[in-house]
Amino acid sequence: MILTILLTCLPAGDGPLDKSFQAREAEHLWNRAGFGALPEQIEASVTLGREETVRRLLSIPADEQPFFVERFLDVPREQYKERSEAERNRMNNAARERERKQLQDYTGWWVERMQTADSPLRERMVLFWHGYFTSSVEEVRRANMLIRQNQFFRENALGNFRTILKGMLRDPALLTYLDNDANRKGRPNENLARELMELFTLGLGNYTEKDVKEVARALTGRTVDGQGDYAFDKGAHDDGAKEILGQKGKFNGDDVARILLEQPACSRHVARRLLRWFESVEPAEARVEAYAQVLRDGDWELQPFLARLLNDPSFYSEDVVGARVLSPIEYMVGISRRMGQRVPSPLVASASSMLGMRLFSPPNVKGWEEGTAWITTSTLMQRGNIAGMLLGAVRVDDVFVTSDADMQEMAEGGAAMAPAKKDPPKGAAGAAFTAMKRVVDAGWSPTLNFSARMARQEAKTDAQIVDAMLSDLLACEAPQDTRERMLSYLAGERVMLELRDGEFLKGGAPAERVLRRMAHLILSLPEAQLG
Amino acid sequence: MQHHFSIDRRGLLIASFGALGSLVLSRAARAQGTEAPPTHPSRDPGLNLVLVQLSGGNDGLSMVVPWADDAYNKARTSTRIGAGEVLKLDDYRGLHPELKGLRSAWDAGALAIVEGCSYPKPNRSHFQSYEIWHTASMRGRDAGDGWIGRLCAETWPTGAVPELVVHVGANEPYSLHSTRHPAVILQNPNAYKWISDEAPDRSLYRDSGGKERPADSDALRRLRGILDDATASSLRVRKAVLEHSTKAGYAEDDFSQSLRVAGALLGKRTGTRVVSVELGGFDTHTNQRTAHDARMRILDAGLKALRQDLAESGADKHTVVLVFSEFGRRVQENGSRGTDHGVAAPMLVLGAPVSGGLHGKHPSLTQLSDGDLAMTTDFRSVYAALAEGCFGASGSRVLGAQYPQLGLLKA
Repeated sequence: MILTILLTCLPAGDGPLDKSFQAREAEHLWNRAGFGALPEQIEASVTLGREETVRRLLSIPADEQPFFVERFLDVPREQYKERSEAERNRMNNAARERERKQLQDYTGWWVERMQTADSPLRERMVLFWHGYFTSSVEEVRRANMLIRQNQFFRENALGNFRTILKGMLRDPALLTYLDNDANRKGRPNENLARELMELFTLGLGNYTEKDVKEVARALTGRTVDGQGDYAFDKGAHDDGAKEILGQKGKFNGDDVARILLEQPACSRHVARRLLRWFESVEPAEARVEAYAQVLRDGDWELQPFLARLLNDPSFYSEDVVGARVLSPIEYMVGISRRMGQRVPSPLVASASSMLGMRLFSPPNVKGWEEGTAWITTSTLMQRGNIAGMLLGAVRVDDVFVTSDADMQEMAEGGAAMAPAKKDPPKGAAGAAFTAMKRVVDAGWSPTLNFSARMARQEAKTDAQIVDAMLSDLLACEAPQDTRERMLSYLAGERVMLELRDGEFLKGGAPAERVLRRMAHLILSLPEAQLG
Repeated sequence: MQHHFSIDRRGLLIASFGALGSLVLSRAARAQGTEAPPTHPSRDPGLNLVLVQLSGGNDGLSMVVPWADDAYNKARTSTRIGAGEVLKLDDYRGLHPELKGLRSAWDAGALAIVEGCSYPKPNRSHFQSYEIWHTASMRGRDAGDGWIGRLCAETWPTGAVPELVVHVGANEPYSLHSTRHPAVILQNPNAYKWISDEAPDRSLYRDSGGKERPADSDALRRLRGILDDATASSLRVRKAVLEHSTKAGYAEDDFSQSLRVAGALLGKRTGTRVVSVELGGFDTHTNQRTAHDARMRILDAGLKALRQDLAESGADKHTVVLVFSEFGRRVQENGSRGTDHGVAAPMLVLGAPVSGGLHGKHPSLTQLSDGDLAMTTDFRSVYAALAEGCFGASGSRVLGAQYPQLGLLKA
């Protein structure tokens, strides 16, 4: 664990403490440059100080957990043609199933890394690039292309934007997703050209419709071969003269990358996207420009940018801390990291899909919309249900199906009700339900012990327990009114168990059950969606 | 420009929460369902609106097909829908062969086709164009709330039940975005609940919403408001869907299932006036024909089932369905049997209150603007007609400008 890395080189004796880097700041850093941390990790970071913690976060190498990608190749066309229709269908179904299974395995592997890897900042950046240079399985279909794209992001997550951009313009998944495999001389397909400028480099308003057409021409011939690898089809490339953003020449794809990177709008666009991702507050123009300059000065290296940002006092300001609405993945991986209790990754992945974030299936080429868009009337309640499920306070069936208790609640309104339908849910929810049920039916159950946790922190009184629970479970400080309501809740439950204040943990299993319910409540609150 | 969005939204939030007291009051009122009636009840015709968004840029020429136009037949080779297969409406245009249900609505005088819809200075970015359609403003999100959000503020200034506006799907469409009337959003009605067997837990959960708490950040305040709306509407919505029975054969796909929820909410008269649903998959740059045919099949099946459902419950007399997309596609096919982003396309308006037939003017396929069909009808004329015809709201107040009148709804 990262804890060991951080603790091995503590300063000798009581080194000078950085007064501006206390637990609140350290936790914020771990929330945004990772997915949250244990109290011990936060304490260790306070001792190390901000600069050293940032330095270590940036320098942790990618962990060596291989995932072997298999490429399932099609039967040669001639052989395929000879088969009967029934055989072809069987072959196609089997191929689809292989692809689905491999992507599902990889998604689980990836979520596992997010939960446990020693390099949380790298994991966070992989997630960033996944939502930046989007490619969806709905269009790409071939799991191996999507997996190799993701592995490219892993290698370059903290590397150089030029390398990433150039890599993406040769990336089989992206070229397929944005139809560049169909972009040929004389028959241009503008899809990649347009999104490349609008979303990946310049932003709207910094190019013309003419530029879209010319860039599309320059990108002709960049395609994917039968093996699923990048290929340049010389015959399909339009090598005529073009004019792109005021420059004239017989441009190709590499020229396009060069020209786009030369535009000041490009560094501003990338800087803005990174600032938004880490701060979740719209950056002022002057700040965007200052950080764009960091990218330009560093020749597109990301490390100097991140080092400056994570040490920037503005990053720790009131406006920024706790202002981020956690994405479904951040919410669940955060629970896992803060509790030091990993959750089966397929459970996290399928719950995330249900909450609107299916990995490898962004809603469109712009990626997922961040911020309050994550929270709807229904996802807010469902986040609570899923947290309850992860804590063993809610049964998976109840999350999706109208239960007898629901029926009773509805009948209290007066109307006579037909018996509850136990039909499993359909469509996308159905897929999530099946996946989650599989994990639970395989025997998984949570093993959290809140009583032991409280005892370890020497939390005994109601107030101490409430404070410890809130601080352990939430990414940032709880509002005062929440603390008060939790206090009166705990006191009420304690009296029911006939225990005195200060003796709650002597209540054994019933007390543990109350703590679980309380954890379920805390994670269901609006403030638990922020970090 | 994109980077201004959040600043504006934030500014708006701050501005609107300046009047925190009244807002909290209206929220509390809507949570209890004791809201004041609409300010102009006499002017409200009481029609419901169902918004169907075709995401990705629907090829209008493949939906309402100018089958007799030489220019169409010349420009479209792989995506052409020939005279033999099109469902002819007249000697020039016809519906996509999968749209048999819409064809029978047309025959019943319940389908209006508004041709050539777009806006001045068309934008070919999915995202910017989407925002323009959803805010009815060229400034997109910078203009503030979505157009339905503004419609609600105009029509129900003192509040209404949270389920007044419902989106059935994963994410809020921006048209519903509102600082005053956030929409209820749900995907699976059975899962629209917070689960606990314990009464104290349920009560604490309900109490964690948006009571007056000045120390809250903007984000927290918004989330607490959402919690209030969720706890207030969860039971009513689930109950309506569970109690609603229909013989309409809704298909299993997500689109049809979302319309099933719409049918239940409107049929059960839950106080819901606007329901929004989405059908994706229209960004057909390659091999369009097969993909688009499948979309049309799903669209038609869903709308057909909804029509039958509404007829059974009687809500058909009070419900109008609007089908739209962020843009049409280029007339000339691209090199990969698909079409790239274009401009004008038809909007469909469906339902018993609708004055069926053709509205607006068909754009020329020979006098193109930059290779695209030029706008003949500003889509905001349709919004204005619906704001006034369905809700009695002033179109110019909701949309911020006057648009030419269209006789879309029966007087």
